Amino acid sequence: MTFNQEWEQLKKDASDRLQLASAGVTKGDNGRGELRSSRTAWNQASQGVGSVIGIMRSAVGGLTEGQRGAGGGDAAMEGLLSAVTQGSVYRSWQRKIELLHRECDELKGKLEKSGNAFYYTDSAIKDAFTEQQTRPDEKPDTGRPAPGEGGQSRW
Amino acid sequence: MASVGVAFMGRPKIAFTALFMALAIGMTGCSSMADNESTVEDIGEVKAQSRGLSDGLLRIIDLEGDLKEPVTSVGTCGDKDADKFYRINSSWSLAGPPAQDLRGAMGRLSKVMPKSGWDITEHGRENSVAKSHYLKANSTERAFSVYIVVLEASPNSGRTRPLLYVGLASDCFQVPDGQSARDKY
Amino acid sequence: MVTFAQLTQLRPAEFGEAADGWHKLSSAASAAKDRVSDDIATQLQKLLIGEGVDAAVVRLRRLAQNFHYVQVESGLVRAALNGLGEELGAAQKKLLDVVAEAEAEKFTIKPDGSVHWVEADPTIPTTPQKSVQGERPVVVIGSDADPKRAKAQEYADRVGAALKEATEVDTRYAQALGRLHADNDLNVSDADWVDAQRDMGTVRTATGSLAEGSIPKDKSPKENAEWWKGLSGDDKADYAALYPASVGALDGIPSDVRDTANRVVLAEKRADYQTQLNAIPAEPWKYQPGSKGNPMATKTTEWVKWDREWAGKKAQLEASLKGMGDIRKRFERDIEPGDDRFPRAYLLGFSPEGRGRAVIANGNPDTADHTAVYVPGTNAGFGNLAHDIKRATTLWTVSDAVSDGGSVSTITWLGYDAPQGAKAAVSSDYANNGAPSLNRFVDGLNASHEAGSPGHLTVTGHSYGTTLIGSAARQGDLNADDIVTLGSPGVQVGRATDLDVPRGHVWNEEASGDPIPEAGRMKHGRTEYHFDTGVDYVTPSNERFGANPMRTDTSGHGSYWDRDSETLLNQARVVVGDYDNVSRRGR
Repeated sequence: MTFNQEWEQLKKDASDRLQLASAGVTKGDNGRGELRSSRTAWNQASQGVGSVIGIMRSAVGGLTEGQRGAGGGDAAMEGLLSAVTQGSVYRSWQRKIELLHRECDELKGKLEKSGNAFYYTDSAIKDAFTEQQTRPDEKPDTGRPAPGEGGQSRW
Repeated sequence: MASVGVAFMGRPKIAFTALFMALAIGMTGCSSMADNESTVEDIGEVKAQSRGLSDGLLRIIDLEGDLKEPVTSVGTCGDKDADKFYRINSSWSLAGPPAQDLRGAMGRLSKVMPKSGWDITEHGRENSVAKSHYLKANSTERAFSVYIVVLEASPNSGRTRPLLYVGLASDCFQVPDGQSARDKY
Repeated sequence: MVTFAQLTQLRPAEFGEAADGWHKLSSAASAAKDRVSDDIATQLQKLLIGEGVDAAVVRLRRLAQNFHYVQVESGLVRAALNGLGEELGAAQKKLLDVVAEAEAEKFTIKPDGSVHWVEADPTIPTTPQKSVQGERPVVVIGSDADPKRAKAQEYADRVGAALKEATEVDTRYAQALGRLHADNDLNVSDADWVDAQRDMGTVRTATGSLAEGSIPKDKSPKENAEWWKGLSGDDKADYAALYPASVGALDGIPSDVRDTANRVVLAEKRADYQTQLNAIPAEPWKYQPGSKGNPMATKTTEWVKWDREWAGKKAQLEASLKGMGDIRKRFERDIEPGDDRFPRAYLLGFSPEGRGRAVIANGNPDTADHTAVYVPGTNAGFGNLAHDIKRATTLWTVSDAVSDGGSVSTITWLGYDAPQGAKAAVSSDYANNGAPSLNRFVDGLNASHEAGSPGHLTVTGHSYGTTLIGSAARQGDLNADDIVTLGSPGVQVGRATDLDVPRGHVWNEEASGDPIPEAGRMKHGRTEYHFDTGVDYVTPSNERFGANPMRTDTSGHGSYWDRDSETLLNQARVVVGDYDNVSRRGR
C-alpha cells in the first residue's frame, strides 16, 4: 500500500470507530475518548518521518554529487574565492541537514515509542516531545572557509 | 406627474441618510441575539456534538452508498466578532441509492426525527425546477438545526443521480475566556 | 585575483552541476516540509487528541519551518551558482577568443598572461623575443617602432580585461554566497526570515542576469501563462527563488507555483513586520494629572510626540500582522478527530503593503471542476481577514458536499482596496479602481486551468463586492459562467445581461431584513426613467434587472453564509452547476 492508501484506510477505521464512540457521548463526558487506533496513528507518523529522512538523504546525495567539480579537487576552482566560499556554504548546510536528520531521528523514535505505549500517560508523551535532545553540533571548524577541510557526511 | 416630481426631489436627501444608517447597521449585523447572549462552549465540544447528531441522522437514513463524510468547520455568526463568536457547520451527503430509496429515507426522517429529539419546522418540496423533497428541523436536545434535501437529478442539475444532502449547523456560541475563535477553522 | 591559468582551465559547467545539486536539495526540502506539515502533523491531529499530540505537533511544525527555510536558502544558492557559472563562462569565452586570435597572428600568450612575439629584424644579429603584459604599465625603453608591439599590447590588455572581469565576478559572487551560510540551530526565528529576505536581495543584485525586468509586467494573463510555459525548469526555479513576490502575483501561471512563491513572501514579510513592530518604542503614559492651575488631565508631551511619530505605523503593522496571522492559521488548521475532506489552502495572491491584498483558495482551482471566486464588500481587509476566509471555506464545505464527483475550489479574493466604513461605501471609486484586477484574476484562472478538463467558474459578491463585479463587467470582460450577488446595493449596470455571463446565469439573494440593497441602490444601482414608475434605481433585486431570485431563509446583511440555510445551499447549488435545484423566491 502506498503511504496515502494506508492513511486512507486508517482514517476510515478511525472514522468508523469515532462514529460509534461519539454516539454514546454525553455532555458531561467532555466528548472525548482515546481511540484504539491511536497506536497505529503514532506508528504511521513515525514511518512518515522515516520517509522524510529518506527524501532528505537522497537530496543530500544529489547535493554532494553536484559538488564534485565545484567543491574541490579541481585546481582551477580552488583558487576562486567564490568556489571556496561555496565550499564553505556547502559544509554549513551539510551540518544543518545533519542536525535536521538527528531531529528527525529523535522525533521518529519518540513517535514510535508513543505508538508502542512506552509512555504511560498523555502527560508523559507531552514531556517526551517537549524535551529537546537533539542539539547542534558545536564543532568550530564548520561554516568558515578552511581550505582542504572536507566534511564527513553522516548520511 | 407633479407628485412624482416632488417625491423625486424629496427623496435623495432622506435616502442618503438612510444609506448611511443602513450601512452602519448592516456592518454590525442584524442578529436576533444580543451580543453577549451566546452560550459559552468549547469548540471541540460543539464539534463533537455535531458529529453525534450527524451519526444519529445517518442511522435513521439507514442506507449505504457513496458517503461524503461530514466536514465540520468553524463558521461565522453574521458580522459578530470573529474572536468571540462562532458556529460549527457540518455538511455531508449520500449518493448511490436510487431516488425512491432516498425519498424513502426522507420519509423515514420526517417520521423518526420528531421522536428522536428533533422538531421539524418545514417539510415539503422546494420551489425549484426539480422540486426536491426537503425538511428543516431544530434539535430539541442540542443547540443545532439541520436542513436536509434529496437533490433530484434533472436535465439542468449537473447530476446523473440523486444526492441526499445534510447541512447541520449550531447556534452561535461564545468561546471560553482566554480562547479565540478566530484562529480556528 | 583570477589568474590566466585559472580562467583558461575553468569548467564553468561545474557550477551548473553544483547548482543542480542545490536544486535537488531545495525541491526535497519543499517536499519534506509539505509531508511533515500537511500529512504527518495534520493526520496526527485528525486522529488523536491530548497534550501529547499537541506537543508532538509543535515539534513537527518547527521541523516543517526548518525545511521551508532550507528550501528558500538553497534555492538562492542555486540561483547564485547558475549566475556565477554563466558570467565566468562569458569571461572565459572572451579570454579564449583573445588567445585564439593572438595565436592566429603568431603571438604566444604564456601562462602568466604575457604576450610574446618574435621579431624578424635583419639588422639585429640575434632574434630577441619580445613581450608585453597587460594590467601593468608598460615601460617603453627608447623609441621602439615595432608595429607588432601595439598589437601585442592590445591583446595583453584584452587578456587583462577578461581577467579583471572574472575577478570582479568572483568577488561579487563570493560576497553573495558568503551570506548564504546556514546557521546551526533548530529555531527558525523572525530574524532568520528577515535575513532570508535580505539574502534574496543580495543574490538578485549579484546575479543581475535574471533581471526582474524580464518578468512580464502589465501583460495579459494569457501572455503570462505563455511566458511561464516557455521557461526552462531551471529558469522557473530561479525566478521563483529570486522574485517570489512578482511570480506569486502573476495572473495566469499555475496556482501551485503562485502558492509556493507567496508562502515565501508571507514568511518573510511576517517576520519583517514583526521585527519592525518590535522596534517601535513603547507607548509612553498618555495622560498626566492636572496641575494646580489646570485641574484637567492632559496628554503628556512624550505621548503626543510618540503618537505623531509611531501610532499610525504601529496600527498599520498590527493590522497587517493580524491578517497574516489569519492566513497562517488557515494553513495550520487544527483538525479534530473524524474530520475528513478539508481542503488545502493555496495562497494565490499576497502583499501586505498598504491596505493589503490576499487571495486564498480552498482547493486548487487549476484542477477543480467548479471554482467560485468570492468578492467581499465594505470593511474587508487584513483587520478581519479570518471572517472572509471562513465564508469561502463554509461555501466550500457545502459545495463539496453536493457536488457528487466534481471537485470544488472556493477563493476569497481580497484583491482590491475595499471601502472602510459606511461613508466610504458610498463612493464608486473603490469598485471602479478594483474592477480591472478582478477581470485579470479571472482571466488568470482561465489561463492556468488544466487543459481538457471542465472548468465551471462562478463569481460571487457580497454587498459592495457586487458593485465591483458590476463595474468589472461594465469596464471590461468578466469571463465567468455564473454570477451570484448577495445583498447587493447595485451593480452599476441595469440588466443581468450586462454582466457578461450567458443569459439566465445571474443569481441574486436578498436576505430578509438586509437593509443594504434598499439603502445603496441610489448610489450603486442604475438610474433609469420609466414612464409608468418614474425614476427607478435598478439593482439585482429588481425584477426588471432579470436576475434569478434565489430563496433565502436567513436574516440580516451578514447572514449569507450562516447556518445550514437555503441561503447558503442555493449559492452552493449555483457553484456546482445544479441549477434545477436552486430554490426560487416567491410564488
